[in-house]
Amino acid sequence: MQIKRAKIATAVSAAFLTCAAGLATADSSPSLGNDPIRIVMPYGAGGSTDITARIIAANAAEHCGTRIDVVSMPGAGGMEGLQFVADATPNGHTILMADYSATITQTLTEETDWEVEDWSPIVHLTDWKPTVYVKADHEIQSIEEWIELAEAQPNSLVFGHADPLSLVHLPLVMLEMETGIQNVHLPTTGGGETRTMILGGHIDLGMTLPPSIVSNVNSGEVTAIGVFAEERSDVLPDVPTFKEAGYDVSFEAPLLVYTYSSVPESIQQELSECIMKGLESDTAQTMSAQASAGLNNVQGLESAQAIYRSTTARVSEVLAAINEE
Amino acid sequence: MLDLIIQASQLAFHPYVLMYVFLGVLLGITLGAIPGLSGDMAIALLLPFVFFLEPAMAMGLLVGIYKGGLFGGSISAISFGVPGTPGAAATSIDGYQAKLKGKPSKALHTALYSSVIGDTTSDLVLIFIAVPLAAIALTFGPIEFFALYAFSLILIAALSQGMVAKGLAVAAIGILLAMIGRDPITGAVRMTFGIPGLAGGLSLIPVLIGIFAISEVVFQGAKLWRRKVDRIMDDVAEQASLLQGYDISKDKLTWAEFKFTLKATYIGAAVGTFIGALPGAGQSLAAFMSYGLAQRFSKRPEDFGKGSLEGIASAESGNSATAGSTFIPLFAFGIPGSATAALFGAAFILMGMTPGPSLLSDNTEIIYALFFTLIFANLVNLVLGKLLLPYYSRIAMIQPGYMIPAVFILAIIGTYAANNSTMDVWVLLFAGLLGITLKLLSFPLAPLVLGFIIGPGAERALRQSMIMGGGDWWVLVKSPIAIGFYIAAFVLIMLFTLALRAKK
Repeated sequence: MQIKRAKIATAVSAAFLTCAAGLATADSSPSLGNDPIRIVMPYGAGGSTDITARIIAANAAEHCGTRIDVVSMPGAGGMEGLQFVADATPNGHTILMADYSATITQTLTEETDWEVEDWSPIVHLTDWKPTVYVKADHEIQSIEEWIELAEAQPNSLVFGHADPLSLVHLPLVMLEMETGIQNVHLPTTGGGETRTMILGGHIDLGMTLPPSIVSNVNSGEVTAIGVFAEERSDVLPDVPTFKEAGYDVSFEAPLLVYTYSSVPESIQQELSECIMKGLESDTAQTMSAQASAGLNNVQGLESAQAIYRSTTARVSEVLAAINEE
Repeated sequence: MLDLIIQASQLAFHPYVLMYVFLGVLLGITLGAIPGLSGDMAIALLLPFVFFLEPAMAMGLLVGIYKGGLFGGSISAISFGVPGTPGAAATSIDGYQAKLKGKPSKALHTALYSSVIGDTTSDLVLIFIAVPLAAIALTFGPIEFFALYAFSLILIAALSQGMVAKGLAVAAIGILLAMIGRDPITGAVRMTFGIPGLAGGLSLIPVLIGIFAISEVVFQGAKLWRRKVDRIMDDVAEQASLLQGYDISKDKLTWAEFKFTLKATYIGAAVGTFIGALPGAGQSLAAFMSYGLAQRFSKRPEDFGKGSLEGIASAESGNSATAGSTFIPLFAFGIPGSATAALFGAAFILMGMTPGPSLLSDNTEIIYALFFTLIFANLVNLVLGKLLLPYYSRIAMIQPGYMIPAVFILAIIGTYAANNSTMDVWVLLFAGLLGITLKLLSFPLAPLVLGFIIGPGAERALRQSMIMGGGDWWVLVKSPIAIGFYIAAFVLIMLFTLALRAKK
């Protein structure tokens, strides 16, 4: 359906759930105080991010010493959520959870009140691994077959990805830079539309995140041919990475928790630690496993900053290459 | 399959869900009976609050309101000759005459039974056709989808209240409004006049509530201000008192009379179901076409317009039979064919379900539960209708006046709560103003909303087709399905234009 813009937040229900889950009354830490912490997500309802935020809210509250509410703000393509966090009092009570599309790509390509450096990552939650897939009866069934065919007939293969410059589009641009192949880039409304077009045989290839096609892979409708990541995906363990196939392209999308950079470093550190503690608990790990949220290797502040820097460099490189064309 | 049916029925027949269906039907009938208030308005206002409910309960409430509203419109149409909803306009022709002839109870009962029969027929068609159609939808690529969108937009514009030029103009405004925000192909932000809050486009919820609720209440308010409604009500009271020598004992619908209206009811059910499935055609067109056909096939066509129960049955069954089939394009292709379908589409999205070919396969259980709810709501409508008919005509006397502040407050709170966005509240007020302006100029409003929803899909499908075809326009007619849609649109519009002309 084409009501992509009917991006309705689950703020209300999420708040409900977290009220139920996070009514922790542990000793509050001196610097954070008793006011609730708001995790703002620049996304609409019902996504995987939603579940992740709720897992944080339910488990980190007791360690952070105060209630945690999840607020969804999908307005203005997610920019409204970032604006809200940027404008909030810098006391660490309004934090952001987002992938790099909002904080890096859109900051670099659109008019914003902040720079990429104004976002300070404090927790590295998980990495999403963009995956290329085809219909099971397509002549291409592997990375090599794709590259070969695309080299032989440039611009003959139609490649469906979600929004332009999104995290399931930039890896394709990088691969084309690396290999010199050319495909027809077809923007779609998202994973659902791409999948429908693949299943209907209207396009040749698509890119998405593993959880959204795992059931179609298992049912034999589609074949996942390659993953743009350092390691294979836990969800699709049989699918090789592009690195294994000999193409040095990896473009994982880190999911990070940020504060705005005006928040004092001591508070950033404290928030990072209490969220980490919450997510390392057995309950959080069980929840994550049930929801395939991939929170089994959560990293703290330093690692989050490092991955943010390297992702920024990579995105800037790809955007510069696109602008040259 | 049996497992699925058991699970779905457990969802649908949960006591709380049933309670919400009852509540919804009651609310729908009440609002439908009050001229100027409609079930659509209530659904728009309640959308942001469906968060608080489990999906099955929310569905029960919305379905109840919808079906109750469809029947409720006939109450004031029969009691006062003032259609409570646009769909009941055809019902008032014979309904009010029947009442003046001392047969209000017969008329209301005929309306109730034919409404329930028409509605049930339509629901069954939806249940048995949506699944196979959704399978066909998978064979649709951008080229076919563009043809389908174009077909839908043309029909919506042409069929809304028979004002082709106005319908097209308003649909175009809707498409234009939907273009604000991100370009679907390049991702660039466009048409925002530098307002950062518009970068993501106008949200659907405030647009829906603004068009369907705000503009309507302001209009009602203005009418009250000018004491127009009072005067209507005075006339009504005067005419009601004219009904002298009314004998309730002679005003019972007999089995023979009911049987005599059945043919008209079946005609209405068939026509309404077919028309309802077409994008944009809507209740009032379905009702008038059923009425015309029933008259042609009636044994007593001369009674039509003079209080014929057949006339009531065909009109009421016709408008209620759009209830189920209006969801067919939504379920199969993700295209909302009516304002109500658009509202339900928005509700699905709130619950994390994407309307379209994968709606059924991704959410089988809840959709089957919805099917049960659709059928069950008809029973509730019948039972409540039977019990409360004597009191209904009094409901229709309720002044919509004091609803205005309530609607306004609900609209603003609901809009803000949905996205935590102040921008949305501005969009709501803007949409309300736009709706009022268009209403004043007597433009239909439904095409605007449908244009707003379908426009982006049409634009994307067109540009996707062009990208895939390497920029060659001929790509648009390279598919037999697409050509079929273009021809069908042309033929249908010709047919309807001729039919409407013949009626006049």
